[in-house]
Amino acid sequence: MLLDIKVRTGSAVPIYQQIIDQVKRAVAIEKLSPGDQLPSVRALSKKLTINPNTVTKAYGELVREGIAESRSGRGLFIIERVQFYSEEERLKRLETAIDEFVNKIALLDFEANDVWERLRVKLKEISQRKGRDE
Amino acid sequence: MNNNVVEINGFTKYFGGNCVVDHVSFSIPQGSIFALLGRNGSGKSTIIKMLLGMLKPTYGSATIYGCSSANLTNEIRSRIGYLAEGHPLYMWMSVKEICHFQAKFYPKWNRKLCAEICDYFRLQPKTKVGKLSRGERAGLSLALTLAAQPDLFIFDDPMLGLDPVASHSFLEMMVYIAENHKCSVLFSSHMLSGVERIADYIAIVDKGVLRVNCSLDVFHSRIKQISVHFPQSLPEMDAFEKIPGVLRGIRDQQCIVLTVANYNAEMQKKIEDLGGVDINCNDMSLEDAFIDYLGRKGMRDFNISDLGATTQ
Repeated sequence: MLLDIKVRTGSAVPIYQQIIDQVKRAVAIEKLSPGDQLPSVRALSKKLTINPNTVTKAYGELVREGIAESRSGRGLFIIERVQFYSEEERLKRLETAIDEFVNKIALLDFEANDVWERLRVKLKEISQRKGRDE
Repeated sequence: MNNNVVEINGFTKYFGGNCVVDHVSFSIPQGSIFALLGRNGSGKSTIIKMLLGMLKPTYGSATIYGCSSANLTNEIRSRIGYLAEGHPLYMWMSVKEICHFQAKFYPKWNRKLCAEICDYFRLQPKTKVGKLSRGERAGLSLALTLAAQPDLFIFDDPMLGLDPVASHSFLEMMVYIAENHKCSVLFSSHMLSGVERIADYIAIVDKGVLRVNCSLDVFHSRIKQISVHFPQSLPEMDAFEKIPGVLRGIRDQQCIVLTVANYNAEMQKKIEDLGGVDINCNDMSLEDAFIDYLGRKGMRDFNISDLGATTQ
């Protein structure tokens, strides 16, 4: 599965963090699965026109967080996911995501029940997918 | 033996009674891309010229590969690829002629690489240099510099006045240089998006004074924007400006947004003592951080380096 990583300059998020975030998101939505290979440092730095050290740093972080592993001479591969956030961090991220979501829908004038129903369907899809994996 | 290709020690330059560079010291680690930043007239070009021995410092000294800037040997000079501001070239020569001309000076000249880069920038061999656009001339200077296969590249504002396509090509070439870990790069620039893409380290000079000398990531992590709510009454701006590290503030009715350097518990306490609640801390883009750091106040005594923040 080919992941199309993109970076944006002028953002408050540093470039190496943008790479980490995109790989994590791809893993979370299963666009990337265990065993998938990430592009080489050289290839990605060339494609994004960024310092190779930035890619190295992002990849290092992904390895430290247990998302990918380096197989000698062959590159970086996604591994089976384990929960890598602390309890506190998980909660903080959930709060941030909820805030973003609520802000986005605030002006759309949907009934709370309607939103809730749709959300429930989506969440059910995710948990079913997870259940299938386990 | 340390790992620095360039070491600058207390560079100071007076033009008449005017101090344009004031005790600037920094080093460039082997294999890194080092960006020298600052506003117009902040002293960047003067530092580069002193480093190359083209200008004599009033005080201070520097070395390149351990050799003093004041007496660079030919052997060291041949290892340096210098690209001067504005890409000055012999206008009456053709592209082909200037490549031949330049090749004579460098023992390691790579003809194939020179031709490839000329091709990359779509330069016709027979075109007179004087007829080239600014972007094409930049491409040609780059070809001439890269083909000499130096170990240290020094670019003085290489992307100045280039269109987006030409500056992107330039960045691509920098990535190409960076892949070869033996090469090091010092470049000055105003193009922060480019700096963000390729720099390992940054130094910021302001009015001749070195204000930042650290990795790009450290700078990013040290400058934050915090918003604070004041349910009672919002103190005057002076009260915030007295807190060390506060760079800039924008007041709203009951809120203030502050740009701060090295935000810590002590600073948080001082803000809370003024009656602030709901303190939110956010990251900033490189450009916003740069503007606020050098902005209006431009506190000369504030400094960020990898060794931590110091007030002189």
